[in-house]
Amino acid sequence: MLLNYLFFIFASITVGCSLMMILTKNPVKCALFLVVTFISSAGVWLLAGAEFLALVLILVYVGAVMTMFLFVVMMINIDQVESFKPKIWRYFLVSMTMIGGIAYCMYLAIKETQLVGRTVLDREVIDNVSAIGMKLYTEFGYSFVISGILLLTAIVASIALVYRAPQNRKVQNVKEQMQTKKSDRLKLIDL
Amino acid sequence: MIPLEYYIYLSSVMFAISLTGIILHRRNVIFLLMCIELMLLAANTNFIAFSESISEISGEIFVFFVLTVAAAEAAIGLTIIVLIYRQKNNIDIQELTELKG
Repeated sequence: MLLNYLFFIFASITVGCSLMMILTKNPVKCALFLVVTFISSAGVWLLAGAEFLALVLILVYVGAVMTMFLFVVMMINIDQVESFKPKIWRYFLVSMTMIGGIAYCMYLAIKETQLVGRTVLDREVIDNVSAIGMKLYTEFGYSFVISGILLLTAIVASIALVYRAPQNRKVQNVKEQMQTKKSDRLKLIDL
Repeated sequence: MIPLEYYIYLSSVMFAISLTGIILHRRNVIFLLMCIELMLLAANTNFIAFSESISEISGEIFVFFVLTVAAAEAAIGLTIIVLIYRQKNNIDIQELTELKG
C-alpha cells in the first residue's frame, strides 16, 4: 500500500512537470522541467524493480544529455522564435482524446492476453544488476558491441559536422622551413 | 506490487503530453527534441512495466539500448541545430525550405 502511495506521488510529479514542460515558453525552464520529469520517472522505475536503469537514467540523461541541451540552449539565442499558438485548448482536447484512446487500447490488450516470460527470474535469488549483466554480456553481446560502435559514430559525426579549421592564423610551417636553401632567400647582385 | 494498468496509464498520459508538445512547439527545433526525449521515456516506462510484470529481464536490456540510441540521436540533433544556427542565425523550422522542390 505504501508502494502505491509512492507510485502516485512520483507519477503526479512526472505528469505535472511534463505538462509544465510543454506549457512554458522559456527553453531553459523547459529543460529544467524535463530534468525533474526524468528524476521522478527514475523513481517510478525504481518502484518497478529496475534499479540499474533508474540510476542509468539519472546519470546519463540528467548528467549528460540534459547538460548538453542546456549548453546548446544557452549558446543559441532562440527568444526570437515565436512558438506558441493562441488556440491552445483545442490541442488539449485532441490530447485528451489521444490519452483516452491509447490507454483504453493498452488496457484491452493486457486484459485479454496472458503474458508469459521465457526466463522467470526470482528476485530473492538474483538482483537486478547481476541479471542484466548476465543477459547483456552473453545473449545480447553483439548488440552491446554494436551500440558501442553507434556511440562512436555519433561522436565522429558530431565532431566532423561542427569542426571548423582555423582560419587566418599565423602558423610555422616546419617542413618548408627546413627544406629552404640559401638561394631561396639570398640573392647576390652586382653593384 | 503495483498493478500493470497504472504504469500503462502513466505512460500513455506522458506520450500524449509529449505529442501535444510537438504539435504546440512545431516552430522550435529544441522543444521538438526535448518532446521526443519525453516520448522515448514514456515508451521505456512501458517496457520496464511489462518486464517487471512477466519477470523477464530482456525488456530492461531493450531499454538500455533505447537509451544508447536516444543519447546518440540527441547529440546528432543538437549538432545539426548548431549548424543551422550558424548558417541562418535562427532555428525556425518553417524557414528551412532549401530542399523543397
